[in-house]
Amino acid sequence: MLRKFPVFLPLARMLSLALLLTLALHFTVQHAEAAQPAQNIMAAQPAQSAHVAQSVDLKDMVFDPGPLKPVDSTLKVRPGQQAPDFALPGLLGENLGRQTLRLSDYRGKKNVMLSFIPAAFTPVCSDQWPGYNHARELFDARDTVILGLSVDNLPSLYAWVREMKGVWFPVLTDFWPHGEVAKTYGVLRTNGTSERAIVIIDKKGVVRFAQAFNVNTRPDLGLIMQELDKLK
Amino acid sequence: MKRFAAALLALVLLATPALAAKPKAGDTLPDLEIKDVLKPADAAYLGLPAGGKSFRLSQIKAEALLVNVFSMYCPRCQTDAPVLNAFFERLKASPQGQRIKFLGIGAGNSPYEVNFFRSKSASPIPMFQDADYALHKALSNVGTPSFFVLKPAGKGFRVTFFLEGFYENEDAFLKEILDAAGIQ
Repeated sequence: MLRKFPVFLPLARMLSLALLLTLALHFTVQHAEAAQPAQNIMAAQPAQSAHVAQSVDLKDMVFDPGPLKPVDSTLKVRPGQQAPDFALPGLLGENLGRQTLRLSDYRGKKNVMLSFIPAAFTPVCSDQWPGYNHARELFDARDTVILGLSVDNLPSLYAWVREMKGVWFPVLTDFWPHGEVAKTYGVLRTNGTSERAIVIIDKKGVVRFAQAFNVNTRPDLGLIMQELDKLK
Repeated sequence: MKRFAAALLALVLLATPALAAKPKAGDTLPDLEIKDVLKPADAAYLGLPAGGKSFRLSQIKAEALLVNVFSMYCPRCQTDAPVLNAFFERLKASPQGQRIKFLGIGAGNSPYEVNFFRSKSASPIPMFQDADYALHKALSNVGTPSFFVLKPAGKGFRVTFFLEGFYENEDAFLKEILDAAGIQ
């Protein structure tokens, strides 16, 4: 249209300039108002990309990826089916010794809760697992071991778990072939990280609960305990 | 145009970390509503009717409030819980104990998580759920633990003291919060 009618070009330019000026004026006025000293803290909400109350212990030690699509994959496991077996290298014990663990090793011995987390050194994950440290007695009382799974590689997981002052459960790396276990369970996101998913497997190796939670926040511990109580 | 400019401003504000200021003395705060069931002992301490399912901060019988923002998932909150429990008893038994009331808000914590945290640390401090982070957002998304002293002001409250992290010296902390509450 502008090419056909060159006469409109200066007009379009003027309109654009007017638009920019108006925007700038609005911004200046409102920004000045927002910066008044008697600040209402309800009116100046900072970006809360991942919904987490960050512990001061981890201040400046985690990377905030910003808000993410809550769920970005389709679960492939359902309650009632046999949990797909896997063997992954991981870190175990206070010394974070390297050891390969197989899911079926727990068959007949312990209930297993797979805790898939998206990425090491990120806000919500660094909150979730120390919480499971605090709540260890709740898992013990339900004869349940947690297996933490991440697609990060072993050295990164080692550094991150050290940063969190350790966790009582094994932390397994699903790094290579990249996210293979996550893919099998249907919790591999399109960007190569995994969902924040919980899969509960009973002592017979049967999936009893599987859910990919909103990646931006933590699953409620109350819900997890409610599901574990059903295994008794 | 105004709406567009406002949306643009909101985007800029949200995307600029430098504007994500921490709370400070002088900030104002609305009269927040706490949506949790009041246990009898907490209700008695806070001067509220027992069994209520929600209350507003302004209903608490006190001249000032000491609010601790904590989380079951925060390692520092876990390890320092016994120290804070003792501080609560000290404050409650002090001459100003009825003039300033102490309560905890479990940022992003469900009722189950708050109750577990509280029972594990045998805490006498009234603690309330904030599963949807509504209170945490209203309190500027502070780190855990954090402490606020709030004084009634107009229809809401004024922040008169803020500390992110745990205090190092209990005597100094007590003096600071009583000064901030204006009840020294």
